[in-house]
Amino acid sequence: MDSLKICMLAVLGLFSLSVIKQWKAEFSPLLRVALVLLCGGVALGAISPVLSYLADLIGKENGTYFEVLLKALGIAFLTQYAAELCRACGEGGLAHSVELVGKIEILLLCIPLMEKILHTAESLLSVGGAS
Amino acid sequence: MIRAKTKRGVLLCLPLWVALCLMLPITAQAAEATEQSDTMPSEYHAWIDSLPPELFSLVPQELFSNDMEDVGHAVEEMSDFSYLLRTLGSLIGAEIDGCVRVLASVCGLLLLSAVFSALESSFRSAGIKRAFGFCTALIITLSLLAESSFCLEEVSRYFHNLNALTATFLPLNGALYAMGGNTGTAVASSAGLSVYMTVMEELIGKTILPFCGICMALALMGSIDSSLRTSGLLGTVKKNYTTALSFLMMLLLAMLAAQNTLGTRSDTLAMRSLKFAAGSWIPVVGGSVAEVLRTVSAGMGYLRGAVGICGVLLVLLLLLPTLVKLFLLRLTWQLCASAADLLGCDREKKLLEEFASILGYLIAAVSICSSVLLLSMILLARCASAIG
Repeated sequence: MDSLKICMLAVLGLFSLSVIKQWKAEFSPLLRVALVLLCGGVALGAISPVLSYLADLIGKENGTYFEVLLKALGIAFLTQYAAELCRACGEGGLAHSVELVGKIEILLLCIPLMEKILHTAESLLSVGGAS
Repeated sequence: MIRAKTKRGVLLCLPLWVALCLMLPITAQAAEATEQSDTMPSEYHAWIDSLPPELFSLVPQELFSNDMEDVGHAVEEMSDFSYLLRTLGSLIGAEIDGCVRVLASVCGLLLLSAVFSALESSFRSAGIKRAFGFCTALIITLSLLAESSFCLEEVSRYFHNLNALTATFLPLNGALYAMGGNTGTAVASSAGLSVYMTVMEELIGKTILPFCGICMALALMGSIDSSLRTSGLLGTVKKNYTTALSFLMMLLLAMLAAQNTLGTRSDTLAMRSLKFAAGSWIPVVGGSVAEVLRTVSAGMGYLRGAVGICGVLLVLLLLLPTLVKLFLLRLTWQLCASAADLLGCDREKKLLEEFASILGYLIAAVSICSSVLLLSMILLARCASAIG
């Protein structure tokens, strides 16, 4: 039923947007943002049981990695939403900057993981010498 | 008439017997039951202390308890058939529990990878998709590494022990030849073979682990990002190491063919089956090891005569656990690679196939060194019995 409600809300929002565009064009970006935030909020609320189930499945051993993965996922979705919103409002340059910031944020999260992998590769290369 | 008299006699004797039984009462009385102790007697603990320490890890810990109930539970557990199978499996290195645990963990990680790959494809921006894909690849690779098991330390210890054993055979052989007085013939016939086998075992034992480390490091780098093409370099390193191993085995087979100290078993059906099995199961140098097995098989008969079947079993128990463990681990990684292929995780499939391939090289090295050790033992036994 949630998906039906969201679809109906999106269609209603679309009609309202097209009407407001004709009367008061300066309010259409605000309505657009509001609709996107509303749909995004509903989607996040729907996905939270899935995320808690995945967290239980992974367990405590890989909990740190799962946290990083969730953060990266959140950053990616937020960046995408914001970039799409900027493009929809005709601000391509702003959308590109938002995407760039998102990519840098995700890469910053990956730095400790890269260090771990390089450290592991170094220990593998020296495994014969140690033995 | 006589019958009637006999009957009367019996009837008269019967009451006499009854009276006699009543006149001689057997005194019977119930003894008071002494309180049963809940603790084990001291003789039991003395018997436990007399057991060799190597057995302590194989029996349940409750057996050493002072409480009778705990000891009873331990005995009940030890009488179970599954316990006997488990103990036998741990003696020969068949740790199926560990392999099943690794398989289950890796399948779970592959499922997660498939889910996050599906999420990755939902992003429209190519840059965000690539960054998130990179993050997922790093995390899944690290998680797989955390679950991975190659028993490299055990293999390292195995080669160290084997090299130490083979290295001691050479001076022993030399001393025995010197005592026998026929050094010239001995050097011509078997000393060369002994030296070559010692050198070969040292070479393989010292190079296999660095080779595996290099292959794993390259596979790891290649799995992080598809733009890092390490498969070419990895293939070159593997091909050259395979060539080196094959060359060493070819020399060994040539020396075995040229010498006359060690005989070969005739090509019976059983021998052909053994050769086929060795050729199929042992990767890289399976065919060469299968040929060497003919000489090993003939020599094992001689060794059985020298040290008895128990001695032969002890030698096999020294060599088998590591080999069986490596076989099981390789099977586990192959199953994991198949699961990755099933779930569409190509990057993880390549990494898991590399893990299985590296274990194949370890199996080949362990098989070669084990065969060479058996040949060295047989040479030593022949030399010792010739002197004796």
